[in-house]
Amino acid sequence: MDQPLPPDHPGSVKGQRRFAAFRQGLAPYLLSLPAGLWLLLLFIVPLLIMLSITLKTCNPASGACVMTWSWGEFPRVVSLYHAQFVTSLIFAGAATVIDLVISFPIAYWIAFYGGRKKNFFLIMLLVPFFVSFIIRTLVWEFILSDNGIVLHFLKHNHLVPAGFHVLGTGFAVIAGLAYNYLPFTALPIYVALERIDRQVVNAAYDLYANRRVTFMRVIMPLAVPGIFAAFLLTFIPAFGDYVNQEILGGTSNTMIGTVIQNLFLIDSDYAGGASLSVVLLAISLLGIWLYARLLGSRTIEEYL
Amino acid sequence: MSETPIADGTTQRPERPERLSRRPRRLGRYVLPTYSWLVIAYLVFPIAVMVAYSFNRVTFGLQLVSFAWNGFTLQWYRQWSNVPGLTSAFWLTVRLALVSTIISTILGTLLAIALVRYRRRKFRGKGTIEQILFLNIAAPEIVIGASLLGLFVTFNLARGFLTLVLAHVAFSIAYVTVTVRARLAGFDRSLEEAAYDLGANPLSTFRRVTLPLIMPGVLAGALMALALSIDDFVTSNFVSGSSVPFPVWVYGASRVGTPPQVFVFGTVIFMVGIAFALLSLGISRKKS
Amino acid sequence: MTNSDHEVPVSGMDPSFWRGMTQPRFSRRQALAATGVGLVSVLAGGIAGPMSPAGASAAVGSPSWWKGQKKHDVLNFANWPYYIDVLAGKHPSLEHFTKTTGTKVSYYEVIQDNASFYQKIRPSLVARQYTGYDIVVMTNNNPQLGYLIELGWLIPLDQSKRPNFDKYAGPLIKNPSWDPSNKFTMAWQSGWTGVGYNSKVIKHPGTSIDLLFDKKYAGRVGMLTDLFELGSAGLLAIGVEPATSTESDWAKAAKKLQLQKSDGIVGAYYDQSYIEHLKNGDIVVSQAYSGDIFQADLNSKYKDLAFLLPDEGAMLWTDNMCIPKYAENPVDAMTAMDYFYNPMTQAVVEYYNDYICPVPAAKLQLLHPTGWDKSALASLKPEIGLPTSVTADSNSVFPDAARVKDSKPYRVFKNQDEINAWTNLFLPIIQGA
Repeated sequence: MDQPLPPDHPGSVKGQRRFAAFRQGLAPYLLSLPAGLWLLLLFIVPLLIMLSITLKTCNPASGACVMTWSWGEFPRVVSLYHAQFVTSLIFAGAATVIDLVISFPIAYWIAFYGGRKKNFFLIMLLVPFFVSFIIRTLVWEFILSDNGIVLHFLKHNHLVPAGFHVLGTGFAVIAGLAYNYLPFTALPIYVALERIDRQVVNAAYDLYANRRVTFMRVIMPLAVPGIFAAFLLTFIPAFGDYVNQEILGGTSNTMIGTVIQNLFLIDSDYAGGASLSVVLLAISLLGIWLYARLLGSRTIEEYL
Repeated sequence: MSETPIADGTTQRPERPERLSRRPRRLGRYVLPTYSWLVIAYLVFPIAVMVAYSFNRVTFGLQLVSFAWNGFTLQWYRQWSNVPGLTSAFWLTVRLALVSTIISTILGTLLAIALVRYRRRKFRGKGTIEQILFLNIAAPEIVIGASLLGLFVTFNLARGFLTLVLAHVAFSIAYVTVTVRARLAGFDRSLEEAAYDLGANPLSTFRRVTLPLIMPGVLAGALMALALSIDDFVTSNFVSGSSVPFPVWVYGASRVGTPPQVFVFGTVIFMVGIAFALLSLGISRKKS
Repeated sequence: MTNSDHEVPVSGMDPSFWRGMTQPRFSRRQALAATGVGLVSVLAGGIAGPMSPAGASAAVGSPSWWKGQKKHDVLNFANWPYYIDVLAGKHPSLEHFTKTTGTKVSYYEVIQDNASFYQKIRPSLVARQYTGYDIVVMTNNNPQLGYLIELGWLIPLDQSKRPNFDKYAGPLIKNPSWDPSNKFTMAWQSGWTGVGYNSKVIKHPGTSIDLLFDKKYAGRVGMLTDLFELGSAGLLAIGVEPATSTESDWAKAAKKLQLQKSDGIVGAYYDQSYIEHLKNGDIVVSQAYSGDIFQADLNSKYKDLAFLLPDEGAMLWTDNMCIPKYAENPVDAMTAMDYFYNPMTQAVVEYYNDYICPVPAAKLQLLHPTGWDKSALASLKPEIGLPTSVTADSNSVFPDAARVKDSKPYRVFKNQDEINAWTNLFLPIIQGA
């Protein structure tokens, strides 16, 4: 706070003038130039290139792409892979709903009853993030395996039939997604609940609202933007996820992320992969656009 | 990822007697805490499994993780560097995380200052930049990874450390900017003005007044970038060529069997992360 | 390979190739067809001497070019995981190589499958840069090895610098169909793709590949994601020789595999990870590589895993060492490749690997080591747990003639169109919703 100022400061007027000119003119542009350039060249340009690749024809051997203006790629991949989009929609949706149901009570508890231990509980909520995404998914594979610690125990005690298995089913994928993205859901809800002015809540009681009415008519409406943000922040990454499906999934539950990854990294079908990516991005943006329309464009940023 | 309110105490309101907490009922006193601890147990469970199995003896054959508990050993901690590919992947990730964190923190902080300080009138294109940041955070990671691959393929850029740094900075900047901006919002400009009035030039003002003031925010942003970089698999998998970072190596190895050292590294990274978090918790508590 | 009027010379180096590719008159299918033509024309005409950068006189890989190369005492070697002897985090065979030649080896276990590894090194090759590896190991049953050869992205080997290979290479891998007279490649190991199963669960496996299609094990069967392995299994199951199969056979095989999936028989499609799932009990029977099962068997815990070479035949593949173009250390690479054809080296590698040994003479070294391998084998023994004679006497490591005769070769594709047709038939199976 009380930084010592420079011991000698020749020409304070000059400094002031220079400062004024600096501030008035180029400063914002100079400050944002490096980051802006980086984002332009390594985020916007790649997206545009991807758009252009959808119209190209690529040689699977050499990887060379030629612009052929073939518009047929979108209908082709959509007709080939629409089922995988639906699977992703269902899995990501189910995982998000599970996460919302799991995290609301705990977020509520931390926000309203956490007291001095609030931050400690938040760290506990974030605990999965301190382990590599890939490792925690692998550990779930390890846990859910047929001879793994959980199923082995259950089967040994005849709590489930011997043929019972989880790994490879859609259920395992949903469970993995739900675990991996739970903090993405819990935090925005917590932030929303935290922000609720306690005086508003107390006012409700003063007006003789009981706890249920207060919860339904005061707390919930105020938490809605947070819940929506949580939904988006969980749903969008889960929708494009392929790691959970690759590690925990089986034969009939391929998600669109897996397809994109395979088209790019194994089949060298850049045009197909790019087209699917564009569709995936469009669906994600549609969700955000809906959110912005319903709740205002600024609010979601508050939860990032 | 969300901005974590752990690192500072500013999001906390001043403690004030609350009716809700004055009239704790069963829900608040028993049901919710029990439930919450169950959720926490669920979150911690796989981590506990990872830590436990990093101490599991392997009795025979290939030195790979297996379910059976064969007894406690520190062997894998002693032989942490015995899997050559894993060790070099780990150090690559460390180097990569440091380089990309430094770059993205500087770039993101400068951008955040510009965004907080200047209104639209003075800063044309501010709205566009904000939208780009938002799009960057919201876009599915596979789209970012795939589009970067498209870029590198189009320009015949051989994939390696350079492309990894380019990519990691590209996905970290937005998070750093958002984090720093949030901390900058309550920044007291009058201190800077005072410095100028006393004759300091812009550079020394920035170094000696502004920077110390925004340092907690910058640090939070840097930690965020560090965590994102260390953890990243999807984008790295697309843009890594012959230099394979830790998560990509682990994924590849797991396809044929996981050496126990993976869990050792996982445990150590986890402990370091938790230590950082608790440390910052302690600092913020001391401050408030 | 229909539109032969669109001749596109395919050579990684030839600028006219890029010009050809950048002419926008092709439709997608035409472009692919043209590629097929290119592949064939290259195959027919051989590799035109690729142009060297900066107008150097000798073509890359020619004897005079090799003469101009120097040893750098550095080698970057990319291979598949768990494919070389390991002792306490080190590789005795590579250690000995460093000790005798002074070449320091960085050994990377980075190849999970041919397609994605090819994808990783290709941008460097297109950009005419060092891929980071002096030796890579590619399988003959996937198109990528062919791509590398046909696009001129491999350095022709120095025929004069492989005395061990000339002396000890076995008939199985000498002068193979995919690389006549071993111009570009030398085998690392070979193996069978057959059926691995859990003998505790499956008491009567029978002798047929039908085991993979048995409803009794619905949901507990693993198949491979590798389209060429998957398709070949389908072809064997409908009684067709993969090598001579036609497109209509492929469609029938695809139908059989589709049915296998829709009947719920397949639990999952796996890459290398099938072996972990077989060990974990997630699946009880799977398409499997011979050496994997052998290695797993060494562990007393997994001794229930058994390998079946079905009556229909088991697919025989070979992984090949080769030197990608622009490699910085070709001399060290050449020396190392030949070093692995020394029976002593191969004895040490094979004691750990248990795939099909490219050097039949290694059998004798395993039984009666005569040199440095004696102490190496002895120090590996506690790790492996079984005497070297088990490896030496195994018909899976040193197969007799009858065993080799029962093996099936893969379909060799004539052009890119065929590859596309195969892919379009079998890819939807593993990638279904």
